[in-house]
Amino acid sequence: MGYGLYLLFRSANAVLVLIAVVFVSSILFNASVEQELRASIEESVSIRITSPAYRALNQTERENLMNLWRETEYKRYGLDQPYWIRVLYQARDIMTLNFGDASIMRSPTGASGVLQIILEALPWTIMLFTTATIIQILLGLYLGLKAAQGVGGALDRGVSVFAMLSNSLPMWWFGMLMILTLSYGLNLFPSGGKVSIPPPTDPITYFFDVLWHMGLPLLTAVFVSFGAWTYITRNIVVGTLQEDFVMAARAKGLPERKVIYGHVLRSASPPIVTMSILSLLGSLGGAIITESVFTWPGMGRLYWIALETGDVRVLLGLTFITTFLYLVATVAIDFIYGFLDPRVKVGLTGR
Amino acid sequence: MREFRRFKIGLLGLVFFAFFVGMAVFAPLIAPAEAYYRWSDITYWEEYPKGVPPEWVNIFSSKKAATQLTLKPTFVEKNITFTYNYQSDIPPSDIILKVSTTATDQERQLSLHVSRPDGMQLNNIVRIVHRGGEVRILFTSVDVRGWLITWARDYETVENLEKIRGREAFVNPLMILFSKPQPGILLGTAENLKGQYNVVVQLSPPTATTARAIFTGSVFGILGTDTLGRDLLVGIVWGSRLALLIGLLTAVLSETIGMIYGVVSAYKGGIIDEAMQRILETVSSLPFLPILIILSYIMRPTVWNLALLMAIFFWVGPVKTVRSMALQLKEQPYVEAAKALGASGWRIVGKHIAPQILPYFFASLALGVPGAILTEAGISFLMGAAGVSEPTWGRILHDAQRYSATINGMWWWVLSPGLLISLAGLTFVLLGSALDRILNPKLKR
Amino acid sequence: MALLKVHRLKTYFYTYRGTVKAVDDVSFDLEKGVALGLMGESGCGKSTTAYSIMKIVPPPGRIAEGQILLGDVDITKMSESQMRQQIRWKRISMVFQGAMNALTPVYTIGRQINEALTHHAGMSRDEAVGRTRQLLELVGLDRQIAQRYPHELSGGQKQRAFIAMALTLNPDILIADEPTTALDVVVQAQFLNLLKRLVRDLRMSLILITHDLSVIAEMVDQAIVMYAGKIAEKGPSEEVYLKPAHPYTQGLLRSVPRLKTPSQIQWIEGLPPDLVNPPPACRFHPRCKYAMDICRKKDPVETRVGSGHFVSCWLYPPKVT
Repeated sequence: MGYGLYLLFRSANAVLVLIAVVFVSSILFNASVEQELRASIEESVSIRITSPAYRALNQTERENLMNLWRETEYKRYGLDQPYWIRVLYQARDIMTLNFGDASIMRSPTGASGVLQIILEALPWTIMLFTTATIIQILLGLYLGLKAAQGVGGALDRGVSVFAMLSNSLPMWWFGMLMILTLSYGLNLFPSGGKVSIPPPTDPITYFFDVLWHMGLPLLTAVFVSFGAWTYITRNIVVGTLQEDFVMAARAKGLPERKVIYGHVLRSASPPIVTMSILSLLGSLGGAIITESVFTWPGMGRLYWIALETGDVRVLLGLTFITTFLYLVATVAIDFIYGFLDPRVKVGLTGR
Repeated sequence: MREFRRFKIGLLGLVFFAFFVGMAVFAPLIAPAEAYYRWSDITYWEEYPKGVPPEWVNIFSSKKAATQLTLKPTFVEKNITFTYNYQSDIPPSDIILKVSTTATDQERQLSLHVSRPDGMQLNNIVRIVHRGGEVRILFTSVDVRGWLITWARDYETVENLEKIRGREAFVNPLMILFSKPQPGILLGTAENLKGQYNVVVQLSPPTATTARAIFTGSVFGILGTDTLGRDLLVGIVWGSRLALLIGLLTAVLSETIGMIYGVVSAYKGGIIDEAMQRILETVSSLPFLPILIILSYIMRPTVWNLALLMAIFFWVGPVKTVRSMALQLKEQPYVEAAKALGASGWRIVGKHIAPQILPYFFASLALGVPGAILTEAGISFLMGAAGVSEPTWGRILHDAQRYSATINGMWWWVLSPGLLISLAGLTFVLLGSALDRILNPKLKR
Repeated sequence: MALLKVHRLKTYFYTYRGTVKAVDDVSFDLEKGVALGLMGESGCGKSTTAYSIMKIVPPPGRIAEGQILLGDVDITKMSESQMRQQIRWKRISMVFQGAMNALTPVYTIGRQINEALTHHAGMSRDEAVGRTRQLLELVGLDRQIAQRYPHELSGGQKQRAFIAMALTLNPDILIADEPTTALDVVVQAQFLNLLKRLVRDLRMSLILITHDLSVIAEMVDQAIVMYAGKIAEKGPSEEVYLKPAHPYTQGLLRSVPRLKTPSQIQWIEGLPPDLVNPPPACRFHPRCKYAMDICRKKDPVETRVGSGHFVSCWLYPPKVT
């Protein structure tokens, strides 16, 4: 089966999965939000009842007004339509890439378009988590390689122990600890947010201010995750080093650097690269919890706010984008793996 | 199978495991059950100090903080006297007086006086008119504080008085009470006055039934308290039950479902296999955290319910590996032979395939626990009481974040729950790794 | 003068279980253009001897004592970088056991052969490509093979490709470590013929390591029989084959089934020895039917039993002169 046909097949598959995911999400999000919204609408109505202007009206007028309020609010949140209609329409909208407007939320610049809101949060997540992922991949690769070369030695054992320990730490808790020690204790970093209040006006200072704010979350993200990376890389490389062709390459009189970076790393690259891609694209989801701990305005935090305010369209938009990226990654990985490792035949027969 | 005592890792894992199980099982002995069930009930925690570090902090600091003390009074005519011997460097965080008299229709009066070791007499700090029942006086209340500030002004410098202007609410009345009458008294920088203090409640007419004075410590317990006064030891110890429960339950459920799914998919092969794999892909592409958060919000699940919910997403984990193992096993000659002999599918699976996968199952089970524990912790951290209905370690951390523990340096509140969450996860990682190494000889290194 | 002189070589593996004396006092010479067969059971130290000559013994192994003279240079004293730049692949190269895994799976055959050329011989890409084609033809492979990946080749093709790679720099000595183990009989024969031809045409010295005696008989001029890290017997292959002196050699030859002789196959009793704690004195004595008292007490001395034919066995005590 040629590359082209296989690509088509996998893409079709991915699209199906995406549709399914959007549907399920739509069902769940709408269900949860419904009760909450109804309750909060009732609350806001009951507050308005206490106004003197309202009291001045007679019974019928009051009733009409209350109903009017209710209707406007329902319309505003889309509650005027029955549940299943909403589910279907919203799902359809998203899949035709019509992200629509947010019911309640607004972006920091005041935009109400869902896509707009998401796109304003996206760069922040990339800045933080994608940077963190890149650092931890590079760090993990370098250390893992070094550890594998000195198998059983101090570095190797240290790496294994550290990986095990750091992997058990919840990232968000570690973030809290960092805030406690480096922000409260040593006053080296701010405790949250992306920029100081009030934000600096001069762009260069602004830039550094953001970097300063990014320091703690970045440190947290890298510290908790690079251990696992190092361990994985180390394992893969150790496995590869035991292969005969490594001895053969050395026997050929090739310099050690060429053996390690050329033959060994190149042979180990398929799993490492595919995992890196998955990791990079996964980071775009932006850890919901960690971003909340640091009040970092990325996609993760956006998710949380959307959940709290019950803005279904934003939720669906976010789910769509993150799932889409994830699926793109899984399909791309298949191909990249086949590209890097000539032994693997891409296609159904290769499974 | 029991030979993982050989591996130091497994041994360490076992030790930790025993520690947690012990904590869970002996919870009622370490901390009273009632304290846990009334975790959210503020009235239960009235007499506890609010937001103080653990007692052992005193070992490391040069300034010794006062510990919790409840005093019984001596009754002399119309005076109820509490004698407090103050020898610490940091005064108690509060003094709570509870006086009960028989309820009547007539109005009675109650007044508060304190005599200090330096001979100074603080009279009529407050006067309360009451009709019996329980009267409560807190030294951190506005009245007492106001009185003490006024009393202390005479000894304070003008500059210092300027410094606290408009910020009287932040002055610590207990520091005033237990300090020498010097400049700095309102800032808390004056010297300590150690010695015997008599706190006197005067009743007219003198008809008290019971009285109690609680000098809440500036340190408390083994793990300190949170801003609501809750003894963190209670939350931690009882939380271990929930953590273990949710970890193990979720892992067992998801591993079992996953294993069965993988084996069936591999064994059936063909279209069924493909279809099952598609379903697998769909489920694993779902963003499980947001969905779990939403479901928790709607359902307010108990730990049991949450385990079920998590299993709905986590079962996909083991399937891939189990399936490839089963696929390999399927090709084995003895399976062909069994088929030729007419053995039914279930029999083949049960007798030939499943037992080979079982070792992987156990290792995978142990390794699946930390994920469940961490996920629940994350959900509880985000949602607090609105999520999981029972107070777990994650919930304690949620409260910590909500009450700005990090910004206020209440490290004990943040450290213990998180540390235990990590340790619990680590325990199962250790156990799982050890199991994996023993049962999976290929990886022997 | 001999091209290669191995003198009292000892290569040990320092493991936590103990020190494995894989090669324990081995000496032999190799002349130019001579094919030498190194044979013995699995684990007798033949491969380790070969790795020692190229100094690629994997850790925790190390050359503990002895000299390896290539011409008049003792290569045991050479540093890693000197070995890499001057010796490996240039003067001594090796064909590994099971080339299945000895070829890097992610590079094409051509690229792997080119590597040695561009790196060592300083050839340009084009020169290297041309030479690669020549080499492939030399071993009887189609030049298209250069574009293939290792997994696309059959076992026999891979072995040939590896020989091509081993010959890139015209080494003086080619070591072939059990080159035919993973091949079926027909391919084996083809392969050995190839080797024979190359050795003759290129005037190369060959060290052929094998446990398959029939190969020895055909292929080599000199034969060395190793047991438990020591040399049991060495000499011209005809002599060793037709007039084996050491009981072990005799036992080996008797255990090979032959079509013509109706006699029963006799195998050698017992198991190969533990190299951490080998039997004292003569290592073969627990399994030898001629074992005498002295065999248990003193190491046998190497004695001449024919022209160029030496044996280490108390059945042939050194002549008192």
